[in-house]
Formats: sequence, structure tokens, C-alpha cells
Amino acid sequence: MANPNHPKYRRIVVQIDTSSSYSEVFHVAVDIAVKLGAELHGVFVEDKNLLNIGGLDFVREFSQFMPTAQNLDSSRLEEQLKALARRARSQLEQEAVSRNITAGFHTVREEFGSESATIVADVDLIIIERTSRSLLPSTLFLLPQDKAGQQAVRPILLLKGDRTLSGPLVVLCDSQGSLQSCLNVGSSLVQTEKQEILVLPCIATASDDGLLVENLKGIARDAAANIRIASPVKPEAEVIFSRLSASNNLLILARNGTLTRDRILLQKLIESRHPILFV
Amino acid sequence: MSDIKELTVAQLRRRYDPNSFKFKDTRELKELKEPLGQDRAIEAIRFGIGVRHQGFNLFAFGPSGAGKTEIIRLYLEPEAAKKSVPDDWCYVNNFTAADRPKVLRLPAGRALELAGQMENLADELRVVIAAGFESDEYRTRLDVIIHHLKLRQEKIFEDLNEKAAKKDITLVRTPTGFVLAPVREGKVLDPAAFAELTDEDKEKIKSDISSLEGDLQSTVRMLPEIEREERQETRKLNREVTSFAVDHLLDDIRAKWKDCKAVLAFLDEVQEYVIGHGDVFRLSTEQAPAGFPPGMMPDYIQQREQVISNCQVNVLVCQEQKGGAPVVYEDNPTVENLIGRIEHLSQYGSLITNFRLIKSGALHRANGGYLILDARRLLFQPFAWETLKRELRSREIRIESVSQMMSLGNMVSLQPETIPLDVKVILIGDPNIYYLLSQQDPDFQELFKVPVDFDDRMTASKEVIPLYVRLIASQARLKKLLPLDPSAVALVLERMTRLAGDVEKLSSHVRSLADLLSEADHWASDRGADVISGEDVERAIDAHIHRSDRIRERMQEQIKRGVIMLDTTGEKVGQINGLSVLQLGDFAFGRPSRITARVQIGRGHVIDIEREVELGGPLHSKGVLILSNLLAARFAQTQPLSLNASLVFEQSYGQVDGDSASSTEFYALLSALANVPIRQSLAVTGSTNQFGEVQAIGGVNEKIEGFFDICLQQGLNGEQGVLIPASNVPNLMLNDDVLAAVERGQFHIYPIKTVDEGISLLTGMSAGEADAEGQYPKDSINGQVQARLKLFADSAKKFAREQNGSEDEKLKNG
Repeated sequence: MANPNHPKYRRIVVQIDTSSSYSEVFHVAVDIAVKLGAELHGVFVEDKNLLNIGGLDFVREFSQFMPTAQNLDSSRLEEQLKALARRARSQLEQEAVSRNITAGFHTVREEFGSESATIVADVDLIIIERTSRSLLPSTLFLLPQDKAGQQAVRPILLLKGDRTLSGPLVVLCDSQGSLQSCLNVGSSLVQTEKQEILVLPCIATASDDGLLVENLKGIARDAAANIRIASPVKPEAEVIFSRLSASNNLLILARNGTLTRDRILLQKLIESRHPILFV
Repeated sequence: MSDIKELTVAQLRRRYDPNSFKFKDTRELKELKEPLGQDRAIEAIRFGIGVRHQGFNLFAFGPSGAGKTEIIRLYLEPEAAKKSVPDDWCYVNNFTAADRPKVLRLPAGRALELAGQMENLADELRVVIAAGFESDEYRTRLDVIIHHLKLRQEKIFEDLNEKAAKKDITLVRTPTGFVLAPVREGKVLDPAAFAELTDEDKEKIKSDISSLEGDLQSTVRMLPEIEREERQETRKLNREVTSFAVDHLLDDIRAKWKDCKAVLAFLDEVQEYVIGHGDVFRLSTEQAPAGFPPGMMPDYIQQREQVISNCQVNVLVCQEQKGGAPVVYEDNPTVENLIGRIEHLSQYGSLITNFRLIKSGALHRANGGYLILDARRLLFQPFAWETLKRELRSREIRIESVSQMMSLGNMVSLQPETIPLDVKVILIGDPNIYYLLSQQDPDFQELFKVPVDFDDRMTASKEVIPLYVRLIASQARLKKLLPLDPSAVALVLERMTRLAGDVEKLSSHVRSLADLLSEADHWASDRGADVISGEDVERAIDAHIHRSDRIRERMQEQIKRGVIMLDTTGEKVGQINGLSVLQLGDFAFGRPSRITARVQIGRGHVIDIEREVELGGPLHSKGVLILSNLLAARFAQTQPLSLNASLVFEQSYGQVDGDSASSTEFYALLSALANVPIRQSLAVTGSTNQFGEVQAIGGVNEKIEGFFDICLQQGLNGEQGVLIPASNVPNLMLNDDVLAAVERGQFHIYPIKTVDEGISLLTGMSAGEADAEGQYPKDSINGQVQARLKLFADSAKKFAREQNGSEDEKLKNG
């Protein structure tokens, strides 16, 4: 029986661009769409920054598959983007047909990772693949204060090139208030039967530890999911990583919490190999 | 008049006295285990089986149904059982050249054991290796490798990006590579903004980018090297995981084969191969995308199954450990059934094959033992004989399809390693094939040095007859027939003597014996008896003849109605009753024919009308030429043979061959020349030589019985009979009807030694003997012939003189 506290996911958007490993991201996205019975919309982003480069006649492109540098012009760049979009669309459609889900595909000219690039209305989940995304500063789209209050906060799943999400689930909990939503979203989106969710309290002030842990335990007891509360850690990247298992974990954290406001910590989490679910 | 004595009843048939048998029925007789009357063949079999040198293969030949195969098996199987069991043979994958599968030789009876172990290994591999790849430890180590790669890639780009950022330049990934672009306030400078910059700023940006491009090029060139390192690391990890899983599985098998180096070497190859292909085990079948039909599984699953399949063992031959050397009889000796075949599977419209589709042939199964083949069937199969010879010569089994031999098509196939061949081949056929191959095939004597000659008859001596009776009893027992009482045994012996065509012999044709016993058993059972009696044997013989004698009856009916003209009474000049034999299937019967001769003045030609119209065979023509010369030798010593004679089988519309009518034709010719009639109540058979001696012919019993039946039909008058060569008397085994008529004096059989005896009997006149000048008495047949021929010669001479005179007159006048 469905948990009434669990949010409903009817429409999922997966954003890709030239940097994305779209084969892997589609695979994960389709798995989630099948699990939730949701529609899946692929959005191929023709990045504005990239198109601007095409207008600069002195810019040359270097590739491991070309012996010499090539001049990059706008028309060639656009053709390449269209070809890439076609391949991605074909791949998504094949996956959707084979798994019997409803899928759509769109191409937009925007900045990658921006909310405005998500052109589909009433989106319940955004999936983004982050391979080499750190090359563009604009990927720090996640800054919550940018969009806070303008629209409903929806989860964003940031992938790191994985084809499946089978690693341990770890909630990076910065407050009692965020835990419930992290658990609800995490369990409904990615948790499999009998899979444990590890809650890792990340508290800056040591005096708050005891009370928070007790409260978290109370929430965990009430939750239907299989949950284990770990001892608290400081909200520092190295400390957090030291408490994770060696394989790729799926980190779950609140989108508007204190952890995401810490730009340095956020940058390191994004650059880590662990996929992240922002709730 | 002739003083030829006709044959007595006792001379017309050999009788076996039932009272001489001291048993109530054949149940009391011991079984005869040894073949009878085949001493020569048995000696050859024993020799051929024993000698192991190359080329001493056996060719057993004799009449069909003589029991050749059974006798060979009788001696072969106990001998084979004493020999050691040959090794098992398998094909395994050649891991370095898949189109050349390798042979694996295993101790007898253990091939299936290894195949089973390898199948179990396959099941284990699927699970154990997949589990290794699904373990947390593997995933962690793989994640570390991949992450390390990413970090290295990102690090080199970040380093470059940091360096570029100091000059307000950023590194951007494009669909196919990387570019360096100017950036302002975190965004790439668009062309319009760039155009508004001062020339100095523009040049600086271009200069900065140009200075960084060398670094970017170096960085990009590092990417393949990093990826290669990652692949090597991943491969190394996969080998470790696979090796851990495979090693202990194979160690278990190795322990069971520690005494077999070939298997240990094979297992080493399997280990290296599986470890080298560990990648294909990373995804289990359960993880495969759903919805694929069985033949279209995803590539990696097919690859995994291919790897597993390549580690299996294709058992060609697995011997029974306690079975001795194999004795194989191949009933259908095609090339493929002899040397095995390589089958193909259709996959996506293509025909593919692999070492597991190699199938064994009879040579594989018989290797180390004996192979029995039917020579006729072998020769009828395209390429089979040549293939067998090639394999025996090279002493190895090379599997090659007929299309490969003929270079037809270019289908992808295999070249399996050859298998050493050590086999004794026993061909079974009829004598014609043996003699044909001996004369025409130079390889035959090299490869089949042991002839096994089965006799079709044996001497019916006092020692043999009791053994033959036991043979009859054994056959009845073997076929689960009723036992025979002495009267039945006696008649069976008589029948077998008749089939041998010699009163001194018994036929060794086991199939005919078995068939006669089976039919007699049927009639005995039909009347509810529990023992076969003479009555049943007689009925079996009569019924067998009746089933086959429709044509004979039709012929007799034609003679009775006068359609076919044949006299059995009276006398005629130049006309005589000849006898021939028609063989229809396994039934032969005598066919009386009227033979006539006409003579006139001529130039010494005896015309054989059958030959002129190409209905006479070469032997018949030979007989006519002999009698022509006999005539010339007797009567043309002092004058030319100035006659033309014609001889013909009246109302004969088919082929005539054999020389058994040559004496008959001679009598007709003498009658025509002497103008002396021949008794039509007599029929004649026998060939003559150039000295007038009458020689033996075949089918004497059928011929006599054939004429007797016609005489019986037209009414026996006590005058009728048959003239046969005296040398055929030992062949007489006539039926009861003839014997009864002879007994009553209603029919007569005359043994003839010379044509003079024959002609005097036929005409009632003395033949006459020539005096010192070669002149015959005038009142003899020969004298009258001589006189007629002199008349012809004189007439011819006179005619020639008149002709010449006429010619001279013409010349004078002319």
C-alpha cells in the first residue's frame, strides 16, 4: 500500500547537453520512471555559452580524434548539436518503448542546469548528469536562494555517469525538519526493498548533537522505511566522505538546507563521484 | 541303332534316408556353433583378424545369403572382446585458432566424465564469476579506478582551466572536443561584446588563447593514454576477480585428472581463456534487458555463452570400459557416416559452425577395433570408397565434407585436427566386386590383402551330413521354429543338394535353408502340428515354386494351345526339341524350344539367325561356330563345304545365349543334310566341342523337368525323354513326378558322350565311323551327310564350270 506521505511523481525531466553521458543517464531515468509509473521528458540543452563561442572566428577546437586543431564556426557547431540531439532522442525513444513508458523529447537553447531549461510544466523530478560539469561555473545552478519562493521546490537528481543507482543510500541530514522530506523522497524514488537508508547527521555545533539524534531516531522509528541513524559528523567534505562506504553512495540532502548553502562543501559534493539527490 | 542305356531312377536323384537319422526330432540335436563348409573362409578370417600390420584388411566375398556377416561376427566378436578397450576421443576448442579444433585423447570410458565436469563448470562459472563481479569489493575497486580516471581527466583540465582563468579565458567542451573562449563575469563573451572591445583587448585575448592552445593540445593528447591506463587497470581487476573464481573450480577438476597430461594442458588453456574473457560474465542473464527472443540475446550474453561453450568438450567416442575393442557395422556407408561430419547452424541467415558441431563417423567409433562394411553399398556412395582408402592409407581420420572435397562453395567451416586411425576394415560383397576391384583398382591389393572366400556348397560326405543336420536344427532353433522330424530333415537335405546342383554337394546358402525352414514351419503350424514333417517341407517347396511359376504356366498353356509349336511325338527332318532355362528372380524353369535347320548349296556358311538379328549372345555364336567347324572337320577334308545352312530357335523373340544348344543344333543340321527325320519325342541339351564330344551344361534339372511337364501335358507315351551330357549325371536331382514316370518307363533320360551317340538315338540310325580315307558307311547318318555334301560340292562345281564357260563364250564373242 502506498505511503500517503510520499510525494507523487508524474512527470520527470532529464536534462542533457553535449557533456552528458546520455546513455547512462537515460538508463537511470527510465528505471525511475518505470518504478514510479511516470512520464519521462528528455530535454537537450543547446548551451548559450557554447553557441556564443561559435561566433568567435579565432577559437579553435581540439580533439583527441583529430590530429590538428579545427576552426569552429557557428553553422558546424549547430549541426553537431542537432546530430547529438537526434541520437539522444533516438536512444530515449528506444528505451521508452522497450520499458513501456511514455516519453517525450525537446531541444532548448538555454544555460544548462537552469530551471528555465526545464520547459515541461508540472515537473516533479529533474535529473541531470554531471560529467565534467565543473568546467562551467554556471553549473552551480543549485543555489537554492536563486529560486526560493518563486516556485515549488522539486527534487533534483545529479548523476555522475552511473548506469544504475545501486549503492548505499545516505541522507546528509542538517536539520530535523529536512529529514522527513529526505526520507520520503529517497524511499519513494530510489530505495529498493530491504535496502537500508543511513542517516548521517551533519551538525556544525556539537551541543546540538544529542537532541537532534534523539529526534531523528524518533522520526526513523515512525517511518516505514528501513532506517539507521549514524553518529553525527561535522559538515566538512573530508569528514563526510570518510564515513561513506567505498563504493558509490547516493547522497540525499535538502535543497534549501545549511549544507547546500556552504558553497565550498557543495562544490566538493558535486565534484565527488557520489550521485546526489537534492530534495 | 544306339545302345545308349537310359539312366535308372537311382541315378536321377540322391536320396537321404530318414531312417538313417537316430533322432525323433531336431530338438535332440546339439547346436552347431561352428560354421559348416567354410573352412577356407574361417582360416582367412582368423588370419586377417590376428595380423595387425597395415593393409591386412579383409574382403569377404561369396554368394548373397551365405551368412558371411554372421560368420565374421562369430569369430570377430570374441577376438575383439579379448583386446584392450581403445581410448576415447573428443574435440575441444583451439583457443588460438578456432577454425582448427584440437583432439583430446582420454582413457577409455572417461570422456563423458570430463564432458560432465566441464558442463558443471559452465554452470558454476555463470554464477561464481557473476557473483564476484557483483560483490561490493569488486564494485568498490572498479569505482575507484573509474573515479581515479575521472579525477585525472578533470584534474588536467582544471589545471588548464585555472591557468586560463587568470587570463579571463575558460575551457569549454564542445560536441566533439574542447575550445578556449574568452569569459566575462562567468559567461562566455558573445561575438557582439567581443566586437565592441578595443583592438588592443581583442589582440590580447587572441594572444592569450593562442598561448594556451599548446597546453590544451597536450592535455587532449593525454586523454587516450589515461583511458588506456584505465582499461588496463579494469582488465587487471577483472582478471583478478575471474581468476579467483575460476582457479578453485578448475583445481577440483585437475585433481581428478592428475594422471592425464592432455587434460591438464586443456584445463590450463581453459583457465587462461576464461580469465582473459572475464568481462563477459559481468552481467548476469537476469540483468539483461527483457523482451529479447532467445535467438537474439544481447551481444554480451551471447559472448558469455560463447565463452562457456568454447570451454566444453565434444565427445566423439566414449567407449565402455569393459567392452573390449569395438565391432562396428555401418549399414549406410556414406562419406559422412564414415568419417563424421561438421554440422552447421543457421543464424541470422548465415550458416555457422564450431567444434561442438563435429559429429563422429563409423571410423571414429571403430577406431582401435573393427569396422564391417557392405562393399556394394560403399561403392554406390559418392566418394565413399576413395575416402575410405585415403583414411586407411594415411592411417588418420580427416573430417572433410563432400563439398570440400569437390571444392564446391566457400562456406565457413572447420579443419579439425586429424585423429590417428588404427582399424581393421572388413568389406563384405559378392565375388564380382572382389575380382573387379582386384583388377581395376591398384590401391585395393595394398589395402585389402586378406580375401575371405565363402563357398556356396560343401561336399555331402558321411562326415558332413550329420553336421549339416545339426545346422538345420540350429537354424530352426535360432529362428524359433518347430523342430523337424527325420523325414523333414531328409527332404531339406535333398532340397539343399538340388540347390547345390550336384548330388555330391550340399548348398551352404544359409538364407535359402532358413527360408525353407521358415516356410515349412508355417505350413506345419497351419495344420496344428508341433513338428515339421516331410509333408510340410514338400508343401513349402511346392508353394514356393507355385508363387513364382506364373510365367511357366503361361508358357505351358501356349504350347498346349499350339500357339508355341512343339511336337512331342512323331519324326521330322531338320527339326529338334532344344532346351533352355529361364531365370526369373529366384525361380528357374526349363523352356523347350523348337530348333530347325535348312540347308542348300552355298559357300560353307552356317548362318545363325539369332546372331544375324542380334538376338544371340556371344556364347551362343561361339557354339554355332564350333559346330560349323565340327561339320567342316568331318566332311570337308577332300572337298569344299559347298553348303549354306541356317539355324534358328523358332518362336524365340528374346535374347538367346549360352552354348548348351550347340549339340542340338548340330543334330538338326545333320538331319537336314542327311534328310533323316529326328524323333520329336526327345529333347536335347548339351554343348559340343570341335571333336564332337558332348559337354556339360547348367540347369540340367530344370531343362529335363521343363520338357517332362510338356510331355505330361500332351500325354506320356513311353517314347519321350531327354538327352543330356553324360557329365551332367552327377547334377541330377529331379523331382518326384519325373522319377515316377521314369520308374514306370514312361520317360527316359539318356546320358550322351558324343554327338554320334546322340544322332543315332535321335534318328534310330547308326552314326557311322569314317574309314581310312575318311569315307562313312553309306547307310549311316554320317554317310548320308557326306553323300549330300558331295552332291552339293559337285553341283557347285558344275555350276561354276558352266558359269565360267558362259563367261568365256561371252569373251570370245565379245
